[in-house]
Amino acid sequence: MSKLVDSNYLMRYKLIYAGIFLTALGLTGCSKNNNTTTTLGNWIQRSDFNGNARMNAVAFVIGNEAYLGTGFDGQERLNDFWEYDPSLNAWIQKANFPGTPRSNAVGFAVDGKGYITTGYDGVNYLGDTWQYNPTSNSWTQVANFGGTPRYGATGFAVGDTGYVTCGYDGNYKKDFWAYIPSSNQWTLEISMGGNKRINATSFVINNIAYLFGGTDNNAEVNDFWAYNPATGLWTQKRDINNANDSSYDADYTSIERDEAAAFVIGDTAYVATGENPSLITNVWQYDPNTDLWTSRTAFPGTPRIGAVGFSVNNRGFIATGGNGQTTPYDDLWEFQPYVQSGTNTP
Amino acid sequence: MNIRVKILAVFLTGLILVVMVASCNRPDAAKNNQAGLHITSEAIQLKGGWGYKIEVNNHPFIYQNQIPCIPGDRPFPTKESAMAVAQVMMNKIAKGKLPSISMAELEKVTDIKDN
Repeated sequence: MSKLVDSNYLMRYKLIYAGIFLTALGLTGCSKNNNTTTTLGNWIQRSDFNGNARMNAVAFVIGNEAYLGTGFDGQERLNDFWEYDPSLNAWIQKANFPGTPRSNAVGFAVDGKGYITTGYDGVNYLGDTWQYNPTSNSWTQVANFGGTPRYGATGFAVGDTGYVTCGYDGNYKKDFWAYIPSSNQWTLEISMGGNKRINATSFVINNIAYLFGGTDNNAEVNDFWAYNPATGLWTQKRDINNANDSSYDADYTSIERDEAAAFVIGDTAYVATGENPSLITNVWQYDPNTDLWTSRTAFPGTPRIGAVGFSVNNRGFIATGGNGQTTPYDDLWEFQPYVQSGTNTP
Repeated sequence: MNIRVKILAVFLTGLILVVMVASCNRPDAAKNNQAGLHITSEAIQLKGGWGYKIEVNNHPFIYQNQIPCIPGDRPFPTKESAMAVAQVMMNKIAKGKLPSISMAELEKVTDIKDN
């Protein structure tokens, strides 16, 4: 009888040891996916959907919502249009974009309305411009883009004006156009002094716009520019590669790129994704106060180009994109700059 | 008693293994594999009509509180029309396709017309 009791106890102990061993094994096994480093800055995947989707879409933000549409699914140009609500963490399909389905267009938002202009339908370079009204969920065609029809341009908005520059119309471009919705007119403004380029990325921090990256004649550009709408002037900032003997840029080996996505959180911007010439996962943070770049936690999703970046209420997101061949992605990632990397919380 | 402990041991070991596999699989959601997706839909009653929501792996993905494709803020007229469109979206998600509904698909499964 006592022997039986002993063997039961023995088995229980064995079981407990086995449990502790297996749990420990489980924790070590998982840790490679989590905290290999304790870099500040965390990427969270915000949607489980990861099917064939789109690259070279456009996005703009109005109030508490982001809007994303058009693009290329690897076979066809698209005209569907979606709203992303970060508070619901869900997508709503809205009224179709009524223009020719297209990719490589430009999007910006002014005064509570969104605009999509330029792009490529697979045959033609495009110059028609459409306004989206989120209140009525409807589209209105407005004045055609002031420059030549083109794709791979970049756009941004400051105050009551939208701006579009660069791109490709058969030649590389850098003419700079302002669109004022109140008068529905495009006006030619003073261009930046740098290279013509395609597939550049722009972002706005405290009413100053920054023009980043792109290629000119298939070469990455290293000049980086700021535009102040109040003065109408462009200023060249420090180059984004290891350009001189100073130490500040010694590690600037992976900033230069094209087809990048960017978003702004607070007073700094983040650039992610893109290529140079291979796909880049390095993420860099730009601080306009110091005109310096800092390397941050790399993008953990599938490396890609033609993604979109946007900020909603100071939260930064990267969505969609493709591998440059025919495999597009439809996943959505949020970057949390002040959270330790590998933190998997909502 | 002995058998009960043995059963318990097997059960607990199994449980631990399941938890390990489940917790380790979490980052694999990023894999481009639609086969394992758990997709559910639910009708939403709205002011003046219906909508739907779709969850993928128990996370919200689509919150369709208005008819897609067409301009205006119109809910679906009936629960059936909302769920018919939800089903088309779910099938696309399951196949790893873009979930977007086209006007032609909308007209095929509902009486809704572009106006």
